Amino acid sequence: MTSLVLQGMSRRFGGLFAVRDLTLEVPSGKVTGLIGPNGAGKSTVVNLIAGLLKLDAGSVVLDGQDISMLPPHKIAAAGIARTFQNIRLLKEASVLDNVMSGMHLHDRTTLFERLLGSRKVRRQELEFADQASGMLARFGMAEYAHRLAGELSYGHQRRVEIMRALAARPLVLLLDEPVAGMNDVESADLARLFRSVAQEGVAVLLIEHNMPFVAGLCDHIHVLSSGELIASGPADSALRDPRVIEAYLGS
Amino acid sequence: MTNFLLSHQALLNLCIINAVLALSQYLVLRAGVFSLATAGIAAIGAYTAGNLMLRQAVHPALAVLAAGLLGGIVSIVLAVPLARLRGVFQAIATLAFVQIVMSLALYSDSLTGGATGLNAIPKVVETWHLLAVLAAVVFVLSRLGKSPTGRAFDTIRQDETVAVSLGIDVVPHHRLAFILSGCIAGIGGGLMAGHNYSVATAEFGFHMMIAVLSFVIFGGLVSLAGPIVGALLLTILPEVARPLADNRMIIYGALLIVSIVYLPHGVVDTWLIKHQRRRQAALSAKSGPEAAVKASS
Repeated sequence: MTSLVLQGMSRRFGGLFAVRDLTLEVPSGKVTGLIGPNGAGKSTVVNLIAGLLKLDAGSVVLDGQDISMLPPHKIAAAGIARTFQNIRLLKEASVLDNVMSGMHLHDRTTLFERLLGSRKVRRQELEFADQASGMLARFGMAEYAHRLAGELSYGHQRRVEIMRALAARPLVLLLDEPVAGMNDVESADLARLFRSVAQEGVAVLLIEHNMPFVAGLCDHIHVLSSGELIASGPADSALRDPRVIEAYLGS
Repeated sequence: MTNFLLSHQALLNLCIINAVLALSQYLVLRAGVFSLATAGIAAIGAYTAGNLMLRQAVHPALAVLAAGLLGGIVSIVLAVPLARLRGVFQAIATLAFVQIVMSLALYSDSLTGGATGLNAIPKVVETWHLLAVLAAVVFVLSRLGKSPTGRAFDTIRQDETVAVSLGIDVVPHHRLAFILSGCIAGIGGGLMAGHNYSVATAEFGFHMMIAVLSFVIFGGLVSLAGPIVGALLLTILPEVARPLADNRMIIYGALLIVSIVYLPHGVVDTWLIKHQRRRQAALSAKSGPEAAVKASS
């Protein structure tokens, strides 16, 4: 049973704590929610886990191994994939190429083979394309395979980014506001997909501030406010916590 | 046709050599390395091959090979400080490198012939040699480009943060592109030595740097055809515009500005993007998703 554990995670910008002494667990097979009002430090948490920001204190532990000191590409290699709050696709590349770029970690060829384009490389490319096509079908995007990613609608671009993250076959999937700007029907579709991803054994950490969406999807919720954890627990009880209501609505 | 080719053979040869140099510049730019070292490394390659052929009577093929090898070795050394830099700082550092190479070429008389250069090098390089080298470079780059490494280059160029989040280690990819580019530049310089009778500093340096950059920017830096078409058009253009004599460079410059403003992806890549859109439209009109997936492999 794999899981991601954040222990006493802290990060300051200047004198201000963006995240302070955050401890939580993201178990595999479940969708864990991390919610909080704007500026609570949610995206900072994602960037800290992914290694784009360095921790001031605490640790990030994946399967008993502290990964907080690794450079970002090694953290990805350890099994952590993510999406970005502001979609970051390769706009000049096709949808299929975007998804295939997520498979970089599964490249099993040597440089020499790639320079000469050996049969092994071509076979692997076909396999990658095949897997990517399968994923496009699962996400209902097969017909867009050859469109340039930059031409797609917002919702579809989000899906491509999620597929790219999943193409790495990660142990942990970090979703940074994946349904921002989507309508309820689109969000419900994605919720189903996230649940099925979790059922395959992936530990999903969902960052959101859309409360109804989180309440409907997550097994366990953590609420962040001004960088500190103010409530944790099953969705319905955590959201009824008076401190949470105060953080969102003011007192 | 044969007559036409024969009467324009010199121009054709120049086109091919320029295409090889353009591919050297293309490779680094595609991987997101803003290196301008091609002009300096080509000079090193040319002086190496020129000296070997002229003074050591080394077989021309070996001399060109040695030029490529030395280009690669110089790049390995240069890649160390370059890995710590990004973007415009890489450009400035490699520009400094080119200037250092040019100064050394000018002042180390015994090795380079100084301002007079190396002269009376036997002209042994034929059109088919040039074509064979171009074909080999195109082969390796197209194979590499269609592998995970090519995708990694594209990812790094467009968004380094995304690249690392996908587990792509940026520095080794930058280094690989830079070293390969150095080998190609060295070979290109070696070919010039075996083709031009002489090697002189005026052919390299800033002048060549601008030329090879223009080839890639004008042609496009994603598809392999881009730099080749760019080299072809921009090499032929001054010849065609010869009657305009002094105004040639003005036309050349104007064409570049027009292409940067209106075709920012370069002539070839812009065309390919349009073509892909048309094909996609045709595919989805015809038979929907299945055909689109099939067309992928």
